[in-house]
Amino acid sequence: MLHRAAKLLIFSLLLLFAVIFLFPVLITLTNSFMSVFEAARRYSAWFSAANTYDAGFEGIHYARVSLTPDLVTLKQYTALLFGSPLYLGLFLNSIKLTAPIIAGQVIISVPAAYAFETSRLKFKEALYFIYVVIMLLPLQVTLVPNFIMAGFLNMNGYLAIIIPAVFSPFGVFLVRQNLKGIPGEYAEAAKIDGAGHVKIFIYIILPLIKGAVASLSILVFIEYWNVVDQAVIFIKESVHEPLSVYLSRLAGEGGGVIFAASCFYMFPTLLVFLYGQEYMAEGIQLSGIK
Amino acid sequence: MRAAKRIKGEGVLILLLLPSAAGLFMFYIAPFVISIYNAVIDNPVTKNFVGLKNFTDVLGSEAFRMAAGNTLTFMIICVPLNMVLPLVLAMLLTRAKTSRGFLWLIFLLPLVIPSGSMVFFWMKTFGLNGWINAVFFPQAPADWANTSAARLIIVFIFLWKNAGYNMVLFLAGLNMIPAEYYECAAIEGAGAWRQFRMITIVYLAPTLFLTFIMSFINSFKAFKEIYMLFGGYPHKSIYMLQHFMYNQFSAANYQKLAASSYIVTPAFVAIVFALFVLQRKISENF
Repeated sequence: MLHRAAKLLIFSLLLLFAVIFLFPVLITLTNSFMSVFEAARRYSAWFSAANTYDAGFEGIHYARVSLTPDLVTLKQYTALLFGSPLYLGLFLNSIKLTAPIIAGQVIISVPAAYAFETSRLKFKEALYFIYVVIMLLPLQVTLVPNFIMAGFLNMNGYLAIIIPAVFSPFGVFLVRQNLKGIPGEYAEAAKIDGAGHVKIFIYIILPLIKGAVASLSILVFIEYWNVVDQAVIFIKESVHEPLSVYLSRLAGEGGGVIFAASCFYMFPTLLVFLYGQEYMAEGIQLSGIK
Repeated sequence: MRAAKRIKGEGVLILLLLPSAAGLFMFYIAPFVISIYNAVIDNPVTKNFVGLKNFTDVLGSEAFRMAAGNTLTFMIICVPLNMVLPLVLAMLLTRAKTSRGFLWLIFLLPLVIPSGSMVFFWMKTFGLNGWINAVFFPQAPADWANTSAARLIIVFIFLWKNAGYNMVLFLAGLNMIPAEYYECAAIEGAGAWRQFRMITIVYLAPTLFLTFIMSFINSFKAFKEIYMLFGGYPHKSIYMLQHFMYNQFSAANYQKLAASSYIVTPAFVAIVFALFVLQRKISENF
């Protein structure tokens, strides 16, 4: 039994960590309900006519972070969504980039994972080892072959990002990890009834690995919604950029709608997270190499 | 799935595997192998064979050495911290009596937040006019990103974003340790520290190893934040191998790029392979 004081200590430690972890997200969320003017006044780097009364040092104007806006308003969001067509376009770009990658990864890797797990091919484990090695390589390293092939096939823009991502070995690995946990008896029974691999795969295995497919989709979504490196290399025109790249530039300029733009960009991931947290945790556990 | 033997239509499996294997070959393996050609010529126009000159150029360049050193330093700081903090979080969570699910959600949240959404907040935290300066150094503000403290900023942001990942792994590992072990130890008079050392750490060894490998691999992902916050040429203490590679991309220097990828890949594969062999050995004892 834990002592009362120990319990209190544990809870206060947890609370402290929770505050640290939540603080950046919470600030971004609450400050997105500031007016454009207030955001500019609070966060502008240099003194101007609008913020001369705030504390600062030799011309530097300190950011005045606050959890509560002086005035709660949706002005940032309306400016963002109706002020210019740019953000909706960039948001669509992110969808155009992410959706085909998720669909492609699932369609390509789920059958391949089943084949790896059930086939008795001689060299399959050697091939699988190559999959794992490529999966573990840092992105900047695998980008080199991706880039060479894109140049060779004359692919550019979205295709140059989507196609290699679809063939990324991660999905095969994740789904196979899940398949390893399914008892052979399921397929055994169907086999006795005379079902072949195609029938077993479609009618028995697929329903059993729905969870793993959900985990895979969520992890791929989070990864590519956040795409930066590939986009910087492959996408030349700024109207085609995903929101991620644009935001890092906007942050440097420090516009008054930056908080709303940041929130706008993270809402889809928050939604997926709230509905799919269990699948995500399961995916993380599956991706643990054993 | 092992028990399912001799299912008819073995050939169809090859068809299921083929799209994935062909794509992997075409976009990852083949171009990597072919790029050795880029690594041994002087430039794409004259195409003179220069042997290992590109390799010695890369290895000898100050930027590469600095980048390799920084990457290593970053890992040495980051990997242990990214194991200790998640373990602490996981152990605290298993002992929490209330709002466990809610706290779990909070610790996992940064993992899904796109890096771009946080760039402004980090700028207004660690930047010249950031609140750290406002609160702690109002009379002597510094642009922390341009000092050697930049490394600490990166470590902090990395831990903030990635601790949840290892926490999930640790929670799963902790759940596998039977509660009876602790009860037994408590009856025999073992204190909390002794229980931690003799039970938790021992039975968590496979998970510890797993989180070690994952932290090592994930530590390369810190580049995204560094790049978004500080651009392609940050303070020299956080100029990483990824910056080096990325700047070769930008300069369209495919000879150096190919050579450096041929240097980094075998080194990386060797390290990961050694870790796996070690892990197998450790796991065999359980």
